[in-house]
Amino acid sequence: MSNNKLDENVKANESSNKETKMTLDDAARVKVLSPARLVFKRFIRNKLAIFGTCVLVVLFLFCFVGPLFYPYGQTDIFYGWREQNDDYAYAQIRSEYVNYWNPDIDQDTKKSLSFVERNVNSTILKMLASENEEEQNSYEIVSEDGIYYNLVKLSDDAYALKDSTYVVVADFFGNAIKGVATFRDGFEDLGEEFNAAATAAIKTGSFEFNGKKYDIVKDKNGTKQDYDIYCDTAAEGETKYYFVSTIVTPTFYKTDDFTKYNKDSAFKYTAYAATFTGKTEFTYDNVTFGVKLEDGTPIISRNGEDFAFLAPFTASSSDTATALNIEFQLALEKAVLEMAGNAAAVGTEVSFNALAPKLEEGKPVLDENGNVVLQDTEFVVKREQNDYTVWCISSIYKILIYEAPNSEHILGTDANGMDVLARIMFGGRISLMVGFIVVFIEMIIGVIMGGIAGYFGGWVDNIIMRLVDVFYCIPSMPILIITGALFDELNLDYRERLVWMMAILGFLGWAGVARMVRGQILSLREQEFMVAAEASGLSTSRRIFRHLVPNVMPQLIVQATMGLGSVIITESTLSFLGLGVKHPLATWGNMMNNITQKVEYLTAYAYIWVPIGCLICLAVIAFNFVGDGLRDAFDPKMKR
Amino acid sequence: MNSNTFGNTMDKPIVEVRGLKKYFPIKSSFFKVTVGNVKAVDDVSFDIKAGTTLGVVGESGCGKTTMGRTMLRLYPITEGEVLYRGLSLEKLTVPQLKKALPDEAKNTVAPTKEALLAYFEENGIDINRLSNNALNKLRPDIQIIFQDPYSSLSPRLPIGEIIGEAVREHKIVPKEEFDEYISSIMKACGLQEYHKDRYPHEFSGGQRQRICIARALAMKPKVVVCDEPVSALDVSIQAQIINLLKDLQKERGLTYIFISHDLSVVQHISDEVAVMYLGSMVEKASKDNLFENPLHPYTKALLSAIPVPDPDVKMNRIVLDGDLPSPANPPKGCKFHTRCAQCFERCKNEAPEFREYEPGHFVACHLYDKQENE
Repeated sequence: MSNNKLDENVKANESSNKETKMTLDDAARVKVLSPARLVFKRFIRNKLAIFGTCVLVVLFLFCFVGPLFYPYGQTDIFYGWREQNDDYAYAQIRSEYVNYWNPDIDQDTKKSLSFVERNVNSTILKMLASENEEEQNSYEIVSEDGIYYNLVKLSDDAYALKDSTYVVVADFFGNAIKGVATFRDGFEDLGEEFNAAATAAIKTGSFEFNGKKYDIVKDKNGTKQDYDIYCDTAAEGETKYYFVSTIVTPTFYKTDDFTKYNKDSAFKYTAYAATFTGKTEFTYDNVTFGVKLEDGTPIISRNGEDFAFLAPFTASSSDTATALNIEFQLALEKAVLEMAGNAAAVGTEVSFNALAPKLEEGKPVLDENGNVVLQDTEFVVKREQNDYTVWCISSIYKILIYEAPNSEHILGTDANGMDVLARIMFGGRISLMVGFIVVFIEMIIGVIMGGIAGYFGGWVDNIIMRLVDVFYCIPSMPILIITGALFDELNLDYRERLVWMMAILGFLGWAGVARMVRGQILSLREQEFMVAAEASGLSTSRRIFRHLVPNVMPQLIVQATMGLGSVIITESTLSFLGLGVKHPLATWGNMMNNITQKVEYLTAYAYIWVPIGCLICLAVIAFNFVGDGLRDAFDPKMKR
Repeated sequence: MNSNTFGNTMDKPIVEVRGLKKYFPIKSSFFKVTVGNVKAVDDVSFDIKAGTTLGVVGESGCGKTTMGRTMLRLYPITEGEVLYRGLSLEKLTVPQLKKALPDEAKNTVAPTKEALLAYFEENGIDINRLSNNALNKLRPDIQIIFQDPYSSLSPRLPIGEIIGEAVREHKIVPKEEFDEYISSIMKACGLQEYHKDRYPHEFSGGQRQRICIARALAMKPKVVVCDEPVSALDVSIQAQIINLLKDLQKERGLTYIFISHDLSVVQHISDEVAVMYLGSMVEKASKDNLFENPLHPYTKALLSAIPVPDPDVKMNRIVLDGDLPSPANPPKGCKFHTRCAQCFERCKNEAPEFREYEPGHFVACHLYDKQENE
C-alpha cells in the first residue's frame, strides 16, 4: 500500500471518529477489502475475463449506441438505379405457310377449295423435297371434285395456287362402239372425228388428236359411260391466283395507319402477289405502293417512304405496351435470319447493336418534345429452335437486394434491400435483450422455486425437485418449434410473439437454476447464521431473501452469465428456423435466414452471414469468459 | 429496562423448565421409519431467577447446546414446558395469547387481554404453546449467543445490518433513533462506530463474538442463552468477553444461561451452576455450594479435572473409566452407573430422581436418597 493511501485512510478514519486514538496495530489501519471489491480485484487479474468484458462492452456500445450514429434504421428499404439483363423482345421464325386469298374469289369457290387449301403445306414440303426441277416449281393438286390445280412457286417464301393448264375440255358419254363429246364453254367442237378417236381410246385412256394429247378419265360422279376428256392447254392472258401461300409477314414501319393494313388480308394478298411476281409497284385501294429488294428483303414503300418489309419473322416486345421500332426490328431480322439459316445456331447467342429507346424503370425516356429518346444499345439474341429471345442491359430503379458491400452500405444489403450493418446493430439489441430478459425470468422463477425447496425441505422440496426433473426431461427445442408453428398459426403480431417467446424460453429454463439454488440453500440453511436469524425472529421471506439468496448470489451471477450465451444461441437457432423473432424485427438469427434459399447464396453473400456468425460467436464466448472469470473470482479458495 | 416489571418478578423465577425433552429420531435409511431416538435432552427441570446467571457444564455431547436451543424453541420441543415470565406479551393479540393457555386454564381465564396477561405473569407462558407468529414477536426477549463467531454471521451483510436488521424488523427503537441506537450498542460491546459498514470477514474472532453479543443485546432481551460464547476464543479475549457480559448484565439486569464446558469460566460468571450428563441434569446448586461441596460423583470427577496453575500442588484427580455412552441407547438405571466408582446394585436398575438435597442444592443420585438408603 502506498503512503498516500495509508494517509488518506488514516485521515478518513480520524475525520469519522475524531476521539479515537489510532494505535499501530489498530484494525482500522489494515485495509480490508469488501467482498465485492475483492471479487473485482480477482476478476481483473483474469486475462480472458478482461477480454470477454471488453468484447461485451464493445458489443453493447455497438448495438445500443451504434444505431444512434448510424444513418439507417433497421426497416429502411433502399432503392437505386441498377443495370441488369432484361428481356427486351421475343422473335419467332414462321414455319407455317399461311394462305392469303385473292379478294376476287367468291365464297363458293373458297369452299370448294378448302380441301386444296388444307393440303398446301404438305404439297410445299413435297415440292421442296422433289428432285425434279419442274415439280419444284409447279405441282399439281387435285381437288375433291377431280379438278386439277397448280401450286406454283413464286419465291422461296411464297407459293400461289392457280388453275391448272390440264383441264376438262369436254364431257364424254359413250362406250366401246360409239361416244359423244360435249365440249365445254370456251372450247371448239372438234366434231365426229374427235368422237371416234375418243371412243377408240376409251380403254387405253389417252389419244392424240390434231397433235394434242387428250386423256379420258372416268367421271367419278357420273354413270358407267360418263367420262371427262382432259387436255393440257396453254394458259392465256394474266394468271389468276386463288391465293398466295407464304411464310412471310409484313413488319410495318411506324406509320399512323399501319394497323389498318396489317389486319387487311386483301392488302396482304395484293402486296405478296406483286412482290413475289417481281413487280415493282402495285395499286391497292387507289394507293400506289412501290416494291424494292434490299439485301434480299422485299421492302414496300408508299409515296416514296418505306412502309413495310416482308420477312418470315415476327418480333414482339417483352412489354406489350411498347412497340418495337423498325430499326431494331430490321437489325433483329438480319441477326435472326442469319441464325435461322444455320442449324448449329440453336442455343447460341449473337449480339448486335441497334438504336433503341432509352429505358428508365422499364419505360422509354421522352425528350422535351415528347419524342422517344433513342440510344445505341447492345442487344443479345439467343436462339431456341424457332424462338429467339432478345435482351439488353438496362438501367432499372429497383430495391437494392443483396448489394455487395460498398461505401453507402458497409456490409451491403440483404434480401429485402435493408442495410445489413444497421440490422446487425438492431438485431444485436434484440438478441442481447432477449438473452437478458430470458435469463432474468429464469433466475426469478429458479430462485423462488429453488429457495422454497431448499429452505422448507421435506415434501415441498420433493415436489419441486420432481417438477424440476420433469422440466429437465422436456425436450425444449421441439417444444419451441411447435410453439413457433403455433404462433404462425395464430398470426401473432411480431411484438407479442417476441414477448411470448421470451416467456416460454424463461419458463423452460428455470430448472437448472432452481436445482443449483436449492443445493446451495440446503447447505446454507444449516449454517449458524440462519439459526441466528431465526432466533432474531425474522420473517421467513426475509430469512430466505436477505440471508440465503445473497449468499447464493455469486453462483447465481455465474449461472446467469453462462446462461446468457446459451439463450442467445437458442434464440438465434429459433429465429434462423423462422420460428423465433420475425421480420421486420431484426435478430442475428433471422438475418441468417436471408441466405438459406440456395446453397450458392452461402458463398455469394458471405458478407451477410460471416459478420453475424462472428458476432454470435463473440457474444457467446465473451459471456462464457466473463462467467468463468466471475466463478473463479467468487471462489474464495483462489489466491488473492 | 423497565425496573417495575423486573421488581415484580424477582420472587418468581424468570425461566422455569419442566420435564424438557428433546429427542432426535433415527430414521431407517430406506423407508424413513423412526427406529429410535437420540435422547439429547432427557427430562430436564430447573428454574432461573431473574438477573442471575445459570452456568451449565458438562462434557462434550451431553446435550448442553441442545438444551439451550430447545429452550428457545430453535429445535421443536419433544415434550415438556419452558415457562417464561416478564416477556413483552402485550405485543401479542388476544387469540395468540389464548392459544398459549394450558388446557386446564383454557376455561378458567377470561378472554380479555388484562386477564390473560395477569395469568401469564403469575404462571409464566409456555414457549411450546405459542404459534410461530407469536413466538417471532417474542423472540427479541429471549436471545442466544452462538459458540462459533465465524459461522454465525452472514458473510454478505455489513455489521450494521447484522445488528440492526432485527431491531428494525421488531421496531425496538423508533426509526429516527435507529442509527444512534445501533452505534450505542456497538460501543457498549466494544466495537467502533465505523465498523458498521464492514463485513464480518474483516474482523477478528473476538470482534466477531462482540458483534454476536451486540446483535443479541440490541434486541433488549430479558434472557440470553450464551452457548459457549468464549470457547472458540483465546484466553485473553475470553476474559474480555466474559467481563463484557458481566458488565452488561449489571447494566441491564439480564438473565444468562451460560453454557460452557470450561469450569473456571463458569465459576467466574455464574450465580448457580448446573451439571449435565448424557442429556440429564445431575446436580444443580449455587456456585459456591457446588464448587465447595459437590455431591454427585460425576461433579466430583469434573471438578477434580480443573487444572491448578501451580506445579507444586498435587492433584487428586478422579479419573473416569470408559467413554460417554450413546445417547441413543442410554444405560438403564442411573445413566452414570457405567462409569461411577460408587455404583451399587440399585443404580443399575432404578433411575435416581433430581431432588433437593439441601436448600438450593439439587442432585440426582441414589447415594443421597436418605430415606430409602437407610
